[in-house]
Amino acid sequence: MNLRQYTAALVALFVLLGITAFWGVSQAQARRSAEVQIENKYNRAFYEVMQRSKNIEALLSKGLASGSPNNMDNLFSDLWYNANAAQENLHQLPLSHNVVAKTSKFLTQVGDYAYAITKRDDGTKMTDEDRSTMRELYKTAQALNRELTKVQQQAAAGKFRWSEVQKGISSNFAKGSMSADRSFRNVESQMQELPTLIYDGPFSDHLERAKPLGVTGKEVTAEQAQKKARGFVDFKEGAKVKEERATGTVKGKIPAYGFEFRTGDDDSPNVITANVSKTGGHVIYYTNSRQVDKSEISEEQARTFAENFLKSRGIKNMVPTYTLKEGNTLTVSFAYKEGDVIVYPDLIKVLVALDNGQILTYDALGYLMSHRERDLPQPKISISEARKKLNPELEVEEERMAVIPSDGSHERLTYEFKAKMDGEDFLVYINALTGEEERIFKLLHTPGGTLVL
Amino acid sequence: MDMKKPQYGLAALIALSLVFFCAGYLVWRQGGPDVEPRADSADSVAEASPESNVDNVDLLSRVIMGEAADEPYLGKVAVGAVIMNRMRSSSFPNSLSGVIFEPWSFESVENGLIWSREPTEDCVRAAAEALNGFDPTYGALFFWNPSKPVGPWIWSRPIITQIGDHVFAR
Repeated sequence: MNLRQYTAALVALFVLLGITAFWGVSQAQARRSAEVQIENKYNRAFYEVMQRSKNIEALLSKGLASGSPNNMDNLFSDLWYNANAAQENLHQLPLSHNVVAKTSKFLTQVGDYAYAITKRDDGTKMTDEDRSTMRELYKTAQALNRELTKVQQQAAAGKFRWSEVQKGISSNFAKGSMSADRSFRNVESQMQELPTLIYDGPFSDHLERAKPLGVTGKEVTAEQAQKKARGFVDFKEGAKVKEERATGTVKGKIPAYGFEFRTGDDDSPNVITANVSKTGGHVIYYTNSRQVDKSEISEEQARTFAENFLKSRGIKNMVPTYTLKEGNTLTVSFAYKEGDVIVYPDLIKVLVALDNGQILTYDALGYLMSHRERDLPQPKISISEARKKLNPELEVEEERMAVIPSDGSHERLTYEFKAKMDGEDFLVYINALTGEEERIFKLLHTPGGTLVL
Repeated sequence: MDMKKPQYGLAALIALSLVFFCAGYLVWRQGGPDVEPRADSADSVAEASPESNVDNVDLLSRVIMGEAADEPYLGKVAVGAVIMNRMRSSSFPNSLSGVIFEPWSFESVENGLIWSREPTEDCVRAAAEALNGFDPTYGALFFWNPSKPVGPWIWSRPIITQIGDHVFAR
């Protein structure tokens, strides 16, 4: 063998080895730096949670000591801000949901509580009840901070690293002696279920326990309910129902029977799923899986299809409020009209196919949850008085009375003004009893329809 | 070619190209778990503007695609509805992106699957319907496939209904 060839092969081998080693080292370095960055990100989130949580404890304590309503206003908005920031950062930590659920709920409720008090009609005036709620929150905040400090000490002592837990959870093994998940579990166990807090915020407990007010009538059997569903669904003429079956019961807010209908050809069947309430046999929703490939009717025509559908199904006094076009479908929202008053909470949504006007989805959950005989109060101010409360720069185009939902499960009787300013459209709601401006919406006209912001 | 003389130079060349090929493949694999650039992303960017909710529909339909691609249409709406319900729940983040990117919430977000496949037409319609407030799950916050292994704590949740292969629970 030729010595020169031998040497050349050897040199080539070493060069290869060198390149591979260089590549390996640079990969390892890149990986390390990425890991450090992730670790820093998690630490930032964790320290943010800690700082916000300490602020919450201090603010609650100050609130208990304060005697000035003006100062309380500032305290509450600080509280709201800190609670939100804490909650947001908490959910960025790589922890499984069951170890942060209660802590998250506590933080949401602190923010919600502060928000609800500042929003009250009679201003920030603390009642005895508010004060005792605040004391509860303060005690919980103290416990939370004690536990967070322990987690921080364990993290600082290097007992676990945030990015390490990731591997731990995903493979269902807790590696090492400690994991962030386990460390946080102690925090969670200290967060006892708070007694039901009495306030009216968007996240308050009683909302989850709301009873369906619009579900009236006698119990129906599964057969009666199926017949009702079959008669209700818009099959569109000519579409044969190939198959029909009961899919069991649904234990939702409204106990219901589920049914499935199949139409169309066997290759691509259209599945229609419907839920009918056990009480009264009301169709809660149905939806048709049919794909709509083209638009052949106008939005105006589609809205008429939707209106006729409701009328033919015996649902009366519903007026279309707004529409939204999405692909080749149009969603039409309807609200109940009581006398001259639009009742927005009693909501039915109807999705119309723009190829043949078939009703693809019918959703009456909002209506069935809130519809009832309402005893609407007499307005205390007239519509002209209400109009004077508007910003003078607004040009009123339309006005009517409307019931709108407010935070919690309350409803407010208001005057609705559709008004223009600088070429932009707004909806303004003035409380018909107090004259307060309750709500303001901006209307955005997009090609798909009007968005309400 | 003289067969009596072993061609070390040629052998070295082949070895070199083999190693480079392997290294190249490894580098390519490191680039991310099978994430390929999206061909038609330009369209969706063109439509996105602060005045529309195209971005929300897109994000939600991607998660629906990742989590429920093989589910019936209603099962797709239901997964979207769970995400919407989480936004309104006190123990979850209160924004769409907060819920979707919460660590360990959705497998398809963790493994990057949501960015590697374009959502189908019915995923997009399902996302729009869920964003519009349609909720066939009546307030469910969790869903899972009962035939796959899941954590034991999840079974303690009260089950509301089953749609397709997923059960939905509060």
